[in-house]
Amino acid sequence: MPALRPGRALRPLLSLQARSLLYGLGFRGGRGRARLLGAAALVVLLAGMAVAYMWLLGSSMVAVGAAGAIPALATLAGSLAAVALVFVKAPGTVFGCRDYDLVAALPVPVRTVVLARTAPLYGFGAALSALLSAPLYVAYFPAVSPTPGAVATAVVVSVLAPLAPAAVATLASLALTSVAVRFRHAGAVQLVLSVLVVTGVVVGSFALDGTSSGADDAAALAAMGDVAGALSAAVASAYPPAAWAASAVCEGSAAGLAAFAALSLALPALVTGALAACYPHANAVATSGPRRRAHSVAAPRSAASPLRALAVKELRRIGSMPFYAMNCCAGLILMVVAAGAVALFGADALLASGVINGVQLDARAVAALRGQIDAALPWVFGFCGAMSLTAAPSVSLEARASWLMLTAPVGAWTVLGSKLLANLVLGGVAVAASAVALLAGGTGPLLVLQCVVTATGMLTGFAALALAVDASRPNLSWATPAEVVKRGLPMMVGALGGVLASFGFGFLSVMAAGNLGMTASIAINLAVPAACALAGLAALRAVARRGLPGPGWGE
Amino acid sequence: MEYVLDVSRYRKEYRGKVAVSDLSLAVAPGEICGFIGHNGAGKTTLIRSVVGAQPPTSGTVRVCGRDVWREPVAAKRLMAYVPDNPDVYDFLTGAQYLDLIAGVFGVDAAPRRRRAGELAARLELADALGEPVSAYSHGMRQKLVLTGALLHDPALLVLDEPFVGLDPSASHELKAILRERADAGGAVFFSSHVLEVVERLCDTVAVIRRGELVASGPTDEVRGSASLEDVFLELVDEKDAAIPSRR
Repeated sequence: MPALRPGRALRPLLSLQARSLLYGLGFRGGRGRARLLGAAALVVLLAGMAVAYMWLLGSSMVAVGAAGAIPALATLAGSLAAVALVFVKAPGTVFGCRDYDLVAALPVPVRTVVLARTAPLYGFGAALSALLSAPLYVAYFPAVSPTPGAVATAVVVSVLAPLAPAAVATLASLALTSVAVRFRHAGAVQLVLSVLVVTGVVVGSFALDGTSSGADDAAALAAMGDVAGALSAAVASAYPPAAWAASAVCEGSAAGLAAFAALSLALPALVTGALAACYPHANAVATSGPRRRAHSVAAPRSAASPLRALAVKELRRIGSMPFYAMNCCAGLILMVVAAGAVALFGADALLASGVINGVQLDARAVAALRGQIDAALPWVFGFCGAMSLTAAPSVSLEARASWLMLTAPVGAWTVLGSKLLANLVLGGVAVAASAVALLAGGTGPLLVLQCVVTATGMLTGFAALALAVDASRPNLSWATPAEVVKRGLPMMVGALGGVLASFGFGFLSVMAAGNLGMTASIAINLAVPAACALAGLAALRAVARRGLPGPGWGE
Repeated sequence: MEYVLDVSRYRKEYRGKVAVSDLSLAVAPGEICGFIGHNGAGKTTLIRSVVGAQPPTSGTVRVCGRDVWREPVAAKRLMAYVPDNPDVYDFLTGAQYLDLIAGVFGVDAAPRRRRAGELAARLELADALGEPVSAYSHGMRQKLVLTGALLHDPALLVLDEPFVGLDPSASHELKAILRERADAGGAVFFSSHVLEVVERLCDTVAVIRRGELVASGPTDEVRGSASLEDVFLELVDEKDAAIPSRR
């Protein structure tokens, strides 16, 4: 059979990716429109929030005279968003794919297969970059009276910005996964490696901040000329191509635009070519199991309870699947890193060390905001907890092995409870580590208690809710676990709902602190997460009463 | 006499289409019952309802007097299931899988260790228990699931096409294990396309055709003087002649 021309082959492969996305959201054969509309509404809501936030950020930068730094910041924002997206999504979609044998057997050039896998990531990255950059430029252009060329350049730069970082992130993600899968508990190793990477980025950014601003902020600003210059220098030191993009937009530099465009187009092309050249090997490396060796088969001294046995099984599943662990535990990593940063540097020093949302905060300004900061801090941990939902896709992940749960002599509540318990064990470790770090760093016990309650409550509530959604209608017929782990409706409902709720309740708490006093804020920080947890558990209990669904149920 | 498995007026529909209709059968203690039928006849449908994996549209399924759909936990505690596709968790080792099953069925460490050791040795699986299940062949998975199924000494063992994928020595050993369980007072209910095995091994046999039970009883009575294969083909032909195709 002759090979299809790359262009013709790409379309069905991309269509497959799109169908996979829709299927993962529960849209099947015309059914599930309501789900799709719900998911779209959620995405629109989130996009609206992001746009509003970025516009406020841009406007405040203009207000403090830092408009000149906006193009570089827009480029950096788009780049970072793409890096985060690729880091989470590449394993399981670009490499380490379960359907690799099927796709590899198609009469399609390998380069086309790789392109079909990477193009959606680049496309999403570009869309995300445009979404984040557009409101910044909307704030920027009225302040600088732009030429049509500058506007056109800004559009081009916004779309190109994520491509090179996404390409590098793809390779980095492959390297990380390749190392992790060598170990018996690949997921756990991937989490540890990710903690190290994130910690490195945080520490590195502080180091950069330290070198760029120096001990005396005022003197440094004076030396650099103005606020915009200082900010631009900081961004450029973190990511030099952002400076090329900024010079193209601000000064109409053709050389800057050419350099930025060349880098943005060449790196993805190079990475695609490199991946195509070693795609079978890359996939084999990313999916290879741990080195096999005989292990002791000695039985434990006493029989585990069914709940414990099932929870251990869930933990083993998370530990064995790096991309599952990464997708579902990223918030826990952020939680520990955030607690460590607060413990090491102190919340006040962190806020006063640089520019936050375009506003230069000094120690006096931070002191004036003390109440609001204390009101908001627990919701940073609530946010991290609410996006760490290993339980969300766990019923669907039973898939072909679901017969084991259906025929086990345990009730649905035990099966579902074990999945929630595994999630809470992981979350509990992260919460405990964070609490110890905060206490060691000098954070007050009452504030630490609020952080613990908020993180635990939001995690419990939204994990239980997402698990209930999955248990009520699981996708047991997925072809690759990425369908349910990365694109499943329970993940989307749970994690996005949790994030939105954290923002909302955090805002409520800050407003209460400002208008009603700290007692009201503390009451909100303790009562609302507890209510979330109880509501989520009630939803899960209601689903458990109906029993576990399996293939053939409800037909 | 209380049957170990008692299926009464079982009916299953899928979106209005009848898969199995008005089926009743029983398996007594000490019996091995073979369940035979062509592809799509409804064997797996009934078996999945027997083990609590799929609810019937109507009818009852009882195991040692316990209704599988009213007292599911109590009924499931009394039986074990080996599916036709022994899909188990790839991320566990064989030993971890057995630990999981032992934990879920509440088997203490001593009997778990003894039974797992004996069965794994008989099925030549002992050396592979430390390996991840992802490295197992179909036959090894089948042996692992079988080992797990026998850990809690079930009163009823339900198997769906248990001989598929087994090597000859494992197949021989499985037949011996099934006979031992029946001799010890347990009951075995399994589906198979291998009529020679059913004929030699089973005390009773049930034949299903297009969702209806067309024959059941002691194997010798159903077979008469002919071979089970001849009887099966005859029953199928009669049925096809008597009932117009539903397609």
